[in-house]
Amino acid sequence: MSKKGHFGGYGGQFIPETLYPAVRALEEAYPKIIKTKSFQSELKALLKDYVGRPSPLYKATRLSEAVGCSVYLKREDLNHTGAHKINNTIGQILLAKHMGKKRIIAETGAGQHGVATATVCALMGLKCVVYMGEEDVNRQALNAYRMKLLGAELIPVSHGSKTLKDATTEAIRDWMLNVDDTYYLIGSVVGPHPYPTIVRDFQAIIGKESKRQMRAMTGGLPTAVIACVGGGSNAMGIFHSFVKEKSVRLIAVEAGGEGLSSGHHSASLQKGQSGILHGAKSYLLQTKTGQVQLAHSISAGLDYPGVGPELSFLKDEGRMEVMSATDKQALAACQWVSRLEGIIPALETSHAFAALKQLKGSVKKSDHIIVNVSGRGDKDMETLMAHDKDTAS
Amino acid sequence: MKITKALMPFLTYGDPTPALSLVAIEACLKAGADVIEVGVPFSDPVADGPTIQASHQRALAETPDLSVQDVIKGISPLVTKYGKPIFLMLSVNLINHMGSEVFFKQLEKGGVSGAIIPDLLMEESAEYRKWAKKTGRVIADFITPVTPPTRIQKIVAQSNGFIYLIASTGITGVRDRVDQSLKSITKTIRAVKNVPIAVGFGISTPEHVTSVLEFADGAIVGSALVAQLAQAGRSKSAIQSTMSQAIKNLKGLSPE
Repeated sequence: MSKKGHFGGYGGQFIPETLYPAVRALEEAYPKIIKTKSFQSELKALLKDYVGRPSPLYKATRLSEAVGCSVYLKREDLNHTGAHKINNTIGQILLAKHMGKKRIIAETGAGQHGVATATVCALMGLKCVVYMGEEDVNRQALNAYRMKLLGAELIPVSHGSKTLKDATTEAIRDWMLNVDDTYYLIGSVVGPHPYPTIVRDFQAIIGKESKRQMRAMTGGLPTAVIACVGGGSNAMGIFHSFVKEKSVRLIAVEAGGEGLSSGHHSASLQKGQSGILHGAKSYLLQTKTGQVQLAHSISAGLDYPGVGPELSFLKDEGRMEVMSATDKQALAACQWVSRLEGIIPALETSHAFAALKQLKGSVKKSDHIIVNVSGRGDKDMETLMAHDKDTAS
Repeated sequence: MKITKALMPFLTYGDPTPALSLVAIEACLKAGADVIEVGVPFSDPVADGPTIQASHQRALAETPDLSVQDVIKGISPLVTKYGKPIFLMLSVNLINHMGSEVFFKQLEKGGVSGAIIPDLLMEESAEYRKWAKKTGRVIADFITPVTPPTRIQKIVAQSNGFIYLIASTGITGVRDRVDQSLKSITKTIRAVKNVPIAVGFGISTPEHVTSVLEFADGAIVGSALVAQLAQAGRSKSAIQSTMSQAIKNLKGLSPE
């Protein structure tokens, strides 16, 4: 970081003055609290016994054969609640508890982060309020109900695009009104400093485990690591331990929606420019006049016009490659992996698999590729069924 | 920067249309508004409440490709005609997108006094301040009831425009009372430097304006006016009379 809270020219704290004390308090508390023995031992125990870590690194034999190199799956889909999101919510809920906060607020897109937040709030007995775009509430009805079942208050957001970006704006507003007792539990590596660092740190366990497991299985490092990117928490989580290992290709896969030239996609890193949204500077989809452009993806979890500042930086540094997969390619990849491995990936994760498929032909037999299976597809059954009908008719 | 016993209305440029928003702004100036804040519509105004966000959305629905340049060009003739200070209030992304240098040079060219940037902290403001200074423009500095005293001192010490004192924590919207602790914050500010203080966020009635102007230099009225303007529809004469009446009412000049 070149300057406090910055990754190159990205990141920072672009927030109203009203939030300054809350953000500053978090900035001061975070490094102190995570160093304490009680925090570390609580976190370790919960990750092991509650989340079910370490998640397996599984050599996918039939997928390997299909691609033409060794493919390993980091099984974050096997975590409690079915995605990587819980690694972060467990960490932040402990942080909130140690800071003495009584009320937790969160934003959610696909509902995975909302469910993961509602889960840890139930676990800790803390009040939980989740903001979710109306559009997403409809697309992800099961997750919306899960949150309610877990005791969270779900607030549908009906302005703007009615998706993740508007839910985030609304959560920030709630925080401004309730700074004293409320902890804002952000679900991705976005938002004002120190959030991108906090979320990355709690997700970094994915990469740490993968590296260790890979060494044990092959004696070396992977050739490449592939992860899908919306805000970027699963990608930063698995990439972080490999950033300094220059031989390892880091491949981020964005949602290409209806195609990169269609204007309907979520490819901030490829089609965006430097912009400021929700407290930080990063690549951002914008119109010619600087308005935030609506993102599109078949997967609600990737449907965000911005992206984490650290990923923006890694792209500019040339350390990370960026690929994309369209809605159609993601749907096809979902079926492909389901039938080859008996693993139904989330539609978000399916974008990473679609990129793996694109690599076929350019990989060597001796290559070892890790795909981060960020979540499972149970939540996407309705979308998948609807699409199946479309193609059948 | 001189602001004294000033009524400072806020209106969104482009709501309901660019031309009619200028009619509304001119009606405010004619009725005795002392300083005008012109909001530049943005798709994701994090620091604004539902009333002003809805206003931004109406403006962008009417003119999706409205640019900051358009706003400056639109209001510039009113600066010349009335000689009152006009500020742009806008999210930092709009400035970042066109570049700080271009933005402030255009403000200078258009005679706009400066910018109010609600999502820009002092810590991130160096580049923006540099160009504001070079072009003789000002950037308003926010202080809130939760800003610690040591930070108030830092903010005031580097301020070259006016202090935008937020009347209550949270987002813009109509509130029932003016927080009395504001008086003591005002004292803390004046102990550092004699800089104009304008109070905003939640100021909606003539009583609010009167009580604020007892200890501050300006009273900013936003959401309440935006809501009244929305009621006036798209008739030029209805907008003129609604805005004129609203400003006179807030100044205590009418029997209402």
